[in-house]
Amino acid sequence: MVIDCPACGAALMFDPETGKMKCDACDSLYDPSELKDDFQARGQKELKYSSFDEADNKTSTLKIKHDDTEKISLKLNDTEAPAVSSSPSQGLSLKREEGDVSFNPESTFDNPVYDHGDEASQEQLDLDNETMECKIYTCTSCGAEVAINDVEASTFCSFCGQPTVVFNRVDSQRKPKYIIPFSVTKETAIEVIRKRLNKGFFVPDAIKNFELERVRGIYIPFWLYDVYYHDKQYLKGKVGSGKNEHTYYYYREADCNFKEITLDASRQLNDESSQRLEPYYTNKMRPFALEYLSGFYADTYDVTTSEVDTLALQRAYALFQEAVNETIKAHSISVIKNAPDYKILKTQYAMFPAWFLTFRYEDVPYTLLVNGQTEKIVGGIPYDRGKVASSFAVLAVVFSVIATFVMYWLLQDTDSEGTMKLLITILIFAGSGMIAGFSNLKKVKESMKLTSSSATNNFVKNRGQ
Amino acid sequence: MFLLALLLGVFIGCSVSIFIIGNKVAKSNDIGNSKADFGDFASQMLNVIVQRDRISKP
Ligand SMILES: [Zn+2]
Ligand SMILES: [Zn+2]
Repeated sequence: MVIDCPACGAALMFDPETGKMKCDACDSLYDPSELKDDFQARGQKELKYSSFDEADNKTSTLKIKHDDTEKISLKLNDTEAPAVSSSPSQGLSLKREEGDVSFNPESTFDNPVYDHGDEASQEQLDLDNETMECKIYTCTSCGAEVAINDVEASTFCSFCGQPTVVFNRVDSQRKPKYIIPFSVTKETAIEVIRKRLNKGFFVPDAIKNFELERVRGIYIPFWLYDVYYHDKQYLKGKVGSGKNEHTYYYYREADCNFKEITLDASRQLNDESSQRLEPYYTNKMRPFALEYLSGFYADTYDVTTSEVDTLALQRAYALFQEAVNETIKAHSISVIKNAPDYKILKTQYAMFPAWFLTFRYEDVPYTLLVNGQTEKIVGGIPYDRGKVASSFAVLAVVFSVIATFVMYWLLQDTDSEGTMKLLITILIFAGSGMIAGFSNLKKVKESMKLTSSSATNNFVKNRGQ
Repeated sequence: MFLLALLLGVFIGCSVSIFIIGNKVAKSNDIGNSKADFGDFASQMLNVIVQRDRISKP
């Protein structure tokens, strides 16, 4: 479906700058809610849109078996088979990455107390990991046939670029309750990245002058969890250091209400990437309307709440524990005994905006993310190895000379116990500083890996235009 | 003695440099490596019901 301009009939797109629907052809602006009323007034059009799945739009459905690509069964309304060449087959990699859950609590979350609010049951959905639905629709502007996968809610025609909302108006099952509309424009997203990269001392010049291969604004599906968490804990912690180190025991009973913990509901998008986009401010959410999708890409969820429940509770636990530990004046705190009690109070479904910008460096695609609400940038940038090496060399020479003199001076007085203690302390500090430095470098490399991961790249690449 | 001082000095010099470089590279190139925290999701502060410090070993 195309949301068209009441004045001239061209396609309307959501404009982040004004928060309104904009017509590129005649510059008219419309309020999304106002437009909705207008659609309802023009009942005929509404009827036509909702019949997206009917023959007049030549919709075809084809099922692709994941385990056996040879078995492609086509269920077509048309007699002629559509060109499958442009089918987003990469969408077949549906395995959710589980490695990033590092938390393993003493208490398991096998049987979460469950009390989902107003959400409809998800059992009816065909979420078989082995198959993927793929629809072929005909562009109303140029007549080309475009393949879209089952989760896509809006896209662009791959031939003429017309923004097209493919989400079915009657598909209430996958309709989000809320949406945070884009408030960051494409130009702003590019601008903030350019500014940030120019500030980075170790960012290679080639990256500072990046040429974008692809820029896409995508609405990501999210589950929002309201969780009540209560626990009684015995903990131990250490106070002091060296010979003066003592272990103490503590008891805490506390509870907390978490509101709208965000967990991405997209199988293809890496959880680590989506979590780094946080926080999204949910007080700016609006009731969902299809109009917001026009001019952007959008995915509906393909991960159900039953799959995310454990993750939501794990996050609640981690946040809870962090807060409990802060009430204890000790280090190396650990829980020795606890009796957690928790309840999922509500789950809601929403779409949040993000810009995905891909550039190439040394022939590897890197995809930076920009939160479409807050402008937060996410990305691990390759560093200029030459600059790192030369900076290290300069620092190492300077500090080695200073340290050598200090050491030489301290070694004159080896009989004194105080001097030896000082010397050993310095060495321990130096050693742990080295470890901290290497661990920081490792973190940068992990972020780079995430930014250049084919999963993220494909999430952006394998759609429409 | 000087040789030992030189050895330790180089070790310390390199360690300090790695510490500084690691921090600087992370600051410069690891953008947005953070997630929402307690305050972003909790509607109020942690409600501590019972708090006992330095108790005997349970
Ligand atoms: Zn117009
Ligand atoms: Zn077209």
